[in-house]
Amino acid sequence: MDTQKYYEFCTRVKTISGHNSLEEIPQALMDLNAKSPMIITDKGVSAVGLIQLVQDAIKKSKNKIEIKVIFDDVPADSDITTVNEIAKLYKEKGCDSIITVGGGSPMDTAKGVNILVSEDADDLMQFTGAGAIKRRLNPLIAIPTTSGTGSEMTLVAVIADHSKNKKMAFTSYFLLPDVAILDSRMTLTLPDFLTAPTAMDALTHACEAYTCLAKNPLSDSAALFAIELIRDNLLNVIKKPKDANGRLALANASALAGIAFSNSMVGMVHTIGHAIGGVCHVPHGVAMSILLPYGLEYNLHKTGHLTGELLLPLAGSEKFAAIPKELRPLKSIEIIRQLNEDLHKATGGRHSRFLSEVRNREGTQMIPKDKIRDIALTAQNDGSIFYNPEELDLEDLIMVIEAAWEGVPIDRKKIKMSKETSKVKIKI
Amino acid sequence: MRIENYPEIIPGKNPFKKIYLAIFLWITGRAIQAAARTDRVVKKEFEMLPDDFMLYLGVSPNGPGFVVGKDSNGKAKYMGAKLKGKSITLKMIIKNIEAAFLVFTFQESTAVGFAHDRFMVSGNLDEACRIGRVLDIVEIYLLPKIITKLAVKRYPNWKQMSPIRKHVGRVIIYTRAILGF
Amino acid sequence: MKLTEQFKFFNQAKIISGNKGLNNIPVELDDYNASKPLIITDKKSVEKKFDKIFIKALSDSNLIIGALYGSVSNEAKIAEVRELVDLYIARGCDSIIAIGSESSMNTAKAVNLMLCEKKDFLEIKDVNQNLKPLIGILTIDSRDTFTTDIVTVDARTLQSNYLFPNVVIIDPRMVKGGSEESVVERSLLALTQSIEAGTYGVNNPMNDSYIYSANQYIYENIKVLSKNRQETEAAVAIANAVYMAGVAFSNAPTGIAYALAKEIHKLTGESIGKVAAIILPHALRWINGKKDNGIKDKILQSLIGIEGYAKTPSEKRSIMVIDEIENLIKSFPKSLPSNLKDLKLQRYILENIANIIPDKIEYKITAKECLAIIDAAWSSEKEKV
Repeated sequence: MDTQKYYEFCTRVKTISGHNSLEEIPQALMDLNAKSPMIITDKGVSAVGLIQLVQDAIKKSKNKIEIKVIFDDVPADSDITTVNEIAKLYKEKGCDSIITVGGGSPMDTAKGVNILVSEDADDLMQFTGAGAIKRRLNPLIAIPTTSGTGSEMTLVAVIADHSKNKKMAFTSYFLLPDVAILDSRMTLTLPDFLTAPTAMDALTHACEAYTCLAKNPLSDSAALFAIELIRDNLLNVIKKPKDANGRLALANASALAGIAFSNSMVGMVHTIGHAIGGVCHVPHGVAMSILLPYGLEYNLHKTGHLTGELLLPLAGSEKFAAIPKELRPLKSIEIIRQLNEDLHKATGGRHSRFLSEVRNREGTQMIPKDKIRDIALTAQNDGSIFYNPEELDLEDLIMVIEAAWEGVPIDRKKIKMSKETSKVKIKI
Repeated sequence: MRIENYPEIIPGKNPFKKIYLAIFLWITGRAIQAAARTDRVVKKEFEMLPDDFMLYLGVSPNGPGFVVGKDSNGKAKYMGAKLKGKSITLKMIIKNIEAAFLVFTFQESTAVGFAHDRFMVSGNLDEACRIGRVLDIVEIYLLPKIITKLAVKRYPNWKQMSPIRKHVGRVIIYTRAILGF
Repeated sequence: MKLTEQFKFFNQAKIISGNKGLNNIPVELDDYNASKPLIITDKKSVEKKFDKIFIKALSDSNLIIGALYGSVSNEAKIAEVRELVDLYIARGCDSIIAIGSESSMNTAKAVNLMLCEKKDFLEIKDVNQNLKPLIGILTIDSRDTFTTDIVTVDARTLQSNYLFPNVVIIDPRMVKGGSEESVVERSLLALTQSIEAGTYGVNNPMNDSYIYSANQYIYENIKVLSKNRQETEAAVAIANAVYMAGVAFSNAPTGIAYALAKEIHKLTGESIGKVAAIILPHALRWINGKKDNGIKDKILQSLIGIEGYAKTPSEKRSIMVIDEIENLIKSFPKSLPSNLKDLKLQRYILENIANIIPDKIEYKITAKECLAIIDAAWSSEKEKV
């Protein structure tokens, strides 16, 4: 293991994992001196009865916990108006804590609400930027319902201001939830075409965290465990959606990957993925699954040795030992591409393998070829570009996106390579 | 225990490193203004920034640092070393003098500095990305290749930046940075 | 890897490790709106001038050191804790920084508890609130208290999630030097804690990621550092391992080697690290024979690396772990004997300890089995277990 010259690492989230971990919520709230929580979620989550599970778990308890109010109308593109509305409700109903149930949007919204209610402020804007929050916030419990974003483990909240057409990032260790509840029941009903890309999102967090500039020993271990759990469980869960152990394993993988990337940041896969999301409104996980092999491929001359090490959790020790060192990096990439193929088959073609294949519910192509330049221009201004091992200018971005659009590997001759730092000579 | 045996301690100062950083940041700040008026790529990056854009790049907690913003004509302008009284839209602050010294003596490249959490960035992230690219170009102009290579991820080849553009630009930017026009 | 069906994990401490780490203290305290810390450290640290290095690292900040108390003795004492509470209040401090040995950290945690609970340490039964910001700075004298959620003062121990420090700092300037013996003792204590956390504990991937990183750091660096205590990278790596093992230890049931070593330390004053290391392979051999538990083969990967692990057939991996640890322990003959007999302990004391261990740990073990492990460690004979 490389001894990193310098790193910072923080996961101040108490994690409770299990098939019945919802039942731990009352005690967790008591430990945090809270008894009047508000639930923040979206319609999709409440419609499939997941909030009922949470309510039941709380009712069963002897602790005097009373859910003051349930807000289940967080929109998919939640923004500052929603945050303000919920914060008002929180104060009106005299809540003292938040339980957020859902994917990225409810979690980000809940973090925003928590800033407002804890700081007793009206204007979220004054808390943007590093170090703006200067005190512990009120208790926040996060219960993820997709195994992908890892938001339950991250210190970031991204909240849009649609009126100003802006997205604001809030980063603070105080935004880390106090408790994350991983319960297999919360993901049992997730359909395969959502399970696949969200798990691939987690896989991307793990792979990028392991190969990017801000890697560190603890994010490395978390990433390797996450990959192994995804390898062992993803395809099984797609084939047997009611496999509770597999679901719990994926929830853990997602949380581990969240720990890894929250502490080491991510690179160009996210750079381009965020841009595709912004320009073409493609779901994050879908872009991630497609772009992951390209990101690893582009950086091979810088971090090939690390990509090679990913083969161990991706393929298992037997296969890993059988493949010579210099072939491992490309093998890792091949396995990820194959995984996308397998998921494509297992979901009856609903899991996309390349960008031109991504379609919306009406069957329209979501990423027309003429949007590639716009995507690249947007990508240039995504913060994650700082953490990518190799430089990416506009031309490079276009080249990578074009390849991912067609579904062909990158032509390595076109990569403008800076000094090679990979400890393994890559055999092409 | 006698409380007076354990007095308050006010930690000292390190003038040498502070002076080095003050000079380095003074030149860089003025060179950004000069480059925005000389180099077409930098100029374009500045055009894309909002009209009220104002950058503070400095060291926590008491500086040194510099402010560069857009003037009323929308041109890049060096606005001094002090933060006070200015409405900053993008703050890039290095956590302490020692960390700043590592980054600005190129013992840690800018990218590694970011990876090592040396910076605290507040404000719009896409403005930070533009400024990151501007700083890379400014460093290419200001410093010899052997040093700039330590600071940037990828030094441009002659196709991306011709030697003529680089050397002529370097003379102009230096002159403008020192004379301040 | 099969996960255990129910588990929990928590680690409050943020870690900052590496070049100029100390210089981040002002920014870290500022996160908590704090700027006037009380510094608690000990004679050993002051002798090594760690206090001076620390103060220098705070140059050019707006921080004022409320007071620097550098006389904590080898064990944390309640009288000293009470006096430091008065000092903290008199100077209007808003945070605490502990530097160096275990006693400094224990004292700091107890001061913090008294300040927040507004009660005497001896009257505090449990903790249910966030405490004042507490930063721990690891040195060559630091052990697990810097990262665990436990405090011990005058033989009274409390455990609470609120007792984790907020930030732990590892800076190369504070972790170099010392004797070979100290390196061996410190590293092997961490190794025992992390290996046992990975063996008696549940299959918890959160904790496992600390365990495997700790093992790997110890294995890759202990020999280098024991030869050259000025080797920066190795020194930082071992300090990291101490931190990680402490976290893992806090999140898993106590293991047998550690429990035995702790009791032996209490009665004889012998170093926990040394005793634990000698017992560890024998305790592992015993547990490896159990049907419901065994040594996870992945531990081997963290010890000998990806390549070696991948090449070892899976049925041999657990045994390899024990062999590896046994070989490691034998590599420091000057600092660590290979059996308890050579530590010159009294045999009858060990027999008494075997009787009390079954009540002290969660894992089921009989006094007879404990004695068998001690016997094996006494003369380093494999067949006794």
